[in-house]
Amino acid sequence: MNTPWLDQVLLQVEAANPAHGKKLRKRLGGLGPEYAQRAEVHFAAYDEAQRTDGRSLAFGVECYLALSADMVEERKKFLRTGGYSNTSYKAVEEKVYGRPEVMEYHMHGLALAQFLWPEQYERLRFFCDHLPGYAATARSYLEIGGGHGLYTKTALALLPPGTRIDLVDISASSLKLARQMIQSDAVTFTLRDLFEYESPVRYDLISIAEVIEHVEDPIAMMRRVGALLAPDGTVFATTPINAPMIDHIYLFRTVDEIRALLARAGFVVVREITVLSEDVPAASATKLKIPVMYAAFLRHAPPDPSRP
Amino acid sequence: MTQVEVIAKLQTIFDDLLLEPVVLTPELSANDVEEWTSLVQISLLVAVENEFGIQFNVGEVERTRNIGEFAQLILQRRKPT
Repeated sequence: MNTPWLDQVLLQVEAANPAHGKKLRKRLGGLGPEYAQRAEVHFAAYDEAQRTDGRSLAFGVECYLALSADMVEERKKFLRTGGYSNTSYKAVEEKVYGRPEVMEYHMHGLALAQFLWPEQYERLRFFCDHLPGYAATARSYLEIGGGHGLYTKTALALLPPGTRIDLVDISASSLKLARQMIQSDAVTFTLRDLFEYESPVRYDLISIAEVIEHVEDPIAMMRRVGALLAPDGTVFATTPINAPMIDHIYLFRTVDEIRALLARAGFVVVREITVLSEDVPAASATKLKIPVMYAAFLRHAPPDPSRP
Repeated sequence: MTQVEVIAKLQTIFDDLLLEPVVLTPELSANDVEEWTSLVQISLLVAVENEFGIQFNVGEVERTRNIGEFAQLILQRRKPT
């Protein structure tokens, strides 16, 4: 299969950082034709969306390289200190959210990373494989922290026509990119903190992907999700462990910590996956604190009969 | 401290961090060790910095081609005791 957009991305990465480019080629090589097709569609859409700002896919690759450089530095700090470099929303707001130039390259870099990091692609594939199974009778979908817009755009293609689709994000930069990528009047975009977001409906489906590691109190965030979810609704939630980044606050050290938090917030896991971010044995990943991607479909936990 | 002594200390660090045993020689490079990925390299570098009380400059480790050159870099960075 011809993959001109992916080839362009990899060549540009290799030119700037040969070792990183080599690693990407090795890891992406085994993902198969479905991956290649989806990556081409995504990179082409990104390029087209950026033309309105006089940019192209090359801008995204520059952002991705800046994001990667940040990650190396954050990882060094994490291994030296045992924690993320930011532990409060205020600190991240000062360093990232309140600096549009940082927020922009970070978000655009993430938009490309969705198809450059195999664990990110596996997360998307998990979403695509299982969302339709929960969506047959769905009439509403909410994306929380829509970021680069990929998941909302994917949901738009997978959900029944006429489904209400809302996206709420606290970042103006993210919303701008999401609008550019989605390009659909069928989605309602709202710039607002989730705790101030009011909706006339309780949603049949809610996606909250790579969000709860960005907040100080992820239990409160997930309880808010529960309040917005219909009684028979389904949540798609993802978050990483041991994944230092410039805007990550809450450190999950194990997958069990995530499961425990979800249970405390009132959810049961229907199905889940975990994917290592490096091709190393699981025991080695634990020892070296290699990031792990966790994704799950959740439902409300049944009422506890022991409680009055 | 000699290059041989540095490599002996590196061997201990590698033994601690990698699951598969690897015998360090001056000629060995990251390409020879499957487990030696870029994220693993960061773990190795932080452990080396702690062990030798040094800090590497951006990009200089990446320019070394094998364990021998890496050991020489450590010797250069190491403060005289």
